Amino acid sequence: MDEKIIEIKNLRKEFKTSLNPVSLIEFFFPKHRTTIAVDSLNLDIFKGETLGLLGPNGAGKTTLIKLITGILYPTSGETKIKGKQIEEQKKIIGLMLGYDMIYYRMTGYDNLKYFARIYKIKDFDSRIKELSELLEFKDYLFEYVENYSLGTKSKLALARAMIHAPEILILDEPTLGLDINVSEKIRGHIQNLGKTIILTTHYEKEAIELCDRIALINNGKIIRLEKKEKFNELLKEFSELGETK
Amino acid sequence: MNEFFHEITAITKKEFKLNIRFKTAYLLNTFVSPVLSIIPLIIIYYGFLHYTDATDFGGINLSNYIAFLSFGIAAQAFFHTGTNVFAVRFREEKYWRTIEALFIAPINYISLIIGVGINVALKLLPLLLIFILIASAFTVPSITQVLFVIIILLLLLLFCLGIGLIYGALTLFSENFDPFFRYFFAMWVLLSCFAYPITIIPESFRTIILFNPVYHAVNFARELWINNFFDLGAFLYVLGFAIIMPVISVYIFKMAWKRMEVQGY
Repeated sequence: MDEKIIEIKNLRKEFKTSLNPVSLIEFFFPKHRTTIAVDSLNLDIFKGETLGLLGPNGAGKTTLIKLITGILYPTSGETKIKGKQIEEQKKIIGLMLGYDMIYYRMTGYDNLKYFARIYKIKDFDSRIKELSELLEFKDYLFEYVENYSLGTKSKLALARAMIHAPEILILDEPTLGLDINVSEKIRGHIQNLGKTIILTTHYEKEAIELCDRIALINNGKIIRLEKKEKFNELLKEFSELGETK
Repeated sequence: MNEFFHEITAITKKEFKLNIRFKTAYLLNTFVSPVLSIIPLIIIYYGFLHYTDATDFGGINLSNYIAFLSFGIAAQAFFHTGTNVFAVRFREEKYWRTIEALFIAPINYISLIIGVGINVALKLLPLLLIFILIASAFTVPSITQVLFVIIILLLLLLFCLGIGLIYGALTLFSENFDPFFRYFFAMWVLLSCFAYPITIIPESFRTIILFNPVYHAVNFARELWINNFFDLGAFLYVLGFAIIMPVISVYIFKMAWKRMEVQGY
């Protein structure tokens, strides 16, 4: 549990967004606002742990995940995965962004086959079978994803993230919008994976059930990082941020 | 090498499956639209060459105008598809929220160009064969002529895919680039002589055209087919651009990704 697998040092991400014009002059010369989504963030993540990123909407959780996975480049600071740059470690990361990152216009099987081949999985058929059975959606494998329920889309998205058996699994709001039963099942699957997991959520229950440590994030900063013993205190603080669900 | 091949086939198959989600539209847009687009030109050229005193229009006459137009329109289809395919696909993937999967995938972006390119080529080759058949009705070709016409248009496609990746990348990060590229491509079409001979262009513009690899690809095909002349210089010129442009475009794609954020979704 002590081997560092991800090291984040002084990570900062600024977004420059143009404001809505209120005059003709501003239409042609828009004013900009700089938003700091992640602010000088330091964090070590250890092998085998499940780390929860908990925070209200707009706290910077998803941006942090996008920085860790290399979807976004930081304004400053760096992230190292097993001591190397992200570009060299893409194969050991699996990412699930809600029920995105899957092609609705293809079947579930074609989605998984495509990503399996991109990640150079040789025996992809048996891997697809294994995952569809594990996550209980094999009856829908050969249907177009556009016809899936939200829960089945989430299961497929999780399978997509796991197709190459990554060492690190990063899950952004994996149960967002799902009913209680499906959420329970997905949480059950995540709990049994035995991998290094980074999980963003704003559901307290999910964080308590799944995480070994929780980082409370607000305004792009980690305001508290606790192990299981002190989850109650941390969650109290989270409640005070006014966004508890 | 094996991994590279896996990436390419995966991308080709994915593109094909996405394209045939709506099969009728795919088939009509691929085959019928370009064939329909040549008909008005054939009518205009036939009328011009048959009913006026003009018997030769910049080297075009009644015996070769069909071949001239066939390769022009085929090349225009390759140009149009190659330059637009990434912009269309990236924008769709931006709204489908699948573009992130491309960003985190451990792939060589050259395989993205080749994978998409093979899919486009498979889509366009039957069309090219239709145009070759049309042209063959007037001039019986040799196998070498057919082969090198196909090769030069595939090289043109590779070059256009490189340009298309730059267009796709920049419009992915900001759609403000889109109209500028479209104006640029409209100018490029004008200077590629797809449907008319270079001799009708004012002389001052011809110098620009002579630097245009698209023009050389079209002209190579026409010269080979109509006059049985293998223009080695033009062939090497197009080949050079077909090799260099994908590499440059991948570099620009990565630079754009580092410096810009995907906006507008």
